[in-house]
Amino acid sequence: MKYFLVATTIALTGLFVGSGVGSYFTSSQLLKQFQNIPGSPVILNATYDKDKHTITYTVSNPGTVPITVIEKAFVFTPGKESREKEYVISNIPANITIPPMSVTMIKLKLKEGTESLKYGDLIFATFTYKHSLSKDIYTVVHSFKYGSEKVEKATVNEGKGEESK
Amino acid sequence: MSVQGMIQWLLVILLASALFLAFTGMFISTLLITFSAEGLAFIFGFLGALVFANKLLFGYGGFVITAEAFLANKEIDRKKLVRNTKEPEERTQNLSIPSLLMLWLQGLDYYRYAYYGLFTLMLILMLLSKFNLLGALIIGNYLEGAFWGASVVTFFVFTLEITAKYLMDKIIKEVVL
Repeated sequence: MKYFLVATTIALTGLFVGSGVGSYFTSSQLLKQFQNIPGSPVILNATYDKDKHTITYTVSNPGTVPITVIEKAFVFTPGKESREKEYVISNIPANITIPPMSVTMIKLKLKEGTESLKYGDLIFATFTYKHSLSKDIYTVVHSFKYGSEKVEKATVNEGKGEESK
Repeated sequence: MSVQGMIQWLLVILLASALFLAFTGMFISTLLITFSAEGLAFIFGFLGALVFANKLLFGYGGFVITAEAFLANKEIDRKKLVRNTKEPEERTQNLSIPSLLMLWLQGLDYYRYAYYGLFTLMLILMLLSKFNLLGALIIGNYLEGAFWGASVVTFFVFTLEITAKYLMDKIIKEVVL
């Protein structure tokens, strides 16, 4: 019995140590490979701030390499309710670094002197970014239509109501 | 040469080349592992623990060989055994061989405690860096490599230790009964 116990203890300890050493080497190699995956930024959300006249984009970097946003640009297309004309602002310098696997806010200031966004206004934002693994420059384009579905429904109902009256 | 003999020789050549390839693969993969920084940390941990555990490895190893010889009723060099116990000559004059073996095992306890203490310290340091409490996540991976290197040596120390204690128990039983 004791012989069996001693032999089993030795065998189990050997298995534990061996699996520990093996998994250490495997995981460290995997970690090295994993540290060099560049991700393209994902824009999760965009919100408009009326007082500051800015749009805040919530941008996530799913890769394991930091991403630097170099430039911002946007195209403003007015909706039916807006009296503003269409305009383009490009080459807004930005130097925002998004750390790997994290979320950052990027603010886009609209043209000064223009009136605040109305329902149906469309904003095409273009972010130019690069990462350390290559010299290439990439862009990501995001369209943002002001006004949520709830607002749309409400306005539609109001319109119907007015018609019926 | 008959067909059967030819086939046998072919099988032997196949087996030999398979063995050769397997060992080459093991050798090359070992080399590749040691070329990385983690492999170097592992080797440093292994060598450091080996230097520190040297006395234990040879002490328990020698004890196991001597105890096996005693259990097999072979002749044991008494002078050598007395020298291994690190006790004065006068004290060991009237002692039997099992009690000398017991003294030898007790003398190794100091080294064992020191070794396991250092190993535990290494484990704590490794865990602290793993949980980012040490404030150095960069060296954490290398500390872990050194720890695993040391754990290989610790495995051999542990194995020899429990084998030696098992044999000591067996000897005590045999002497008493």
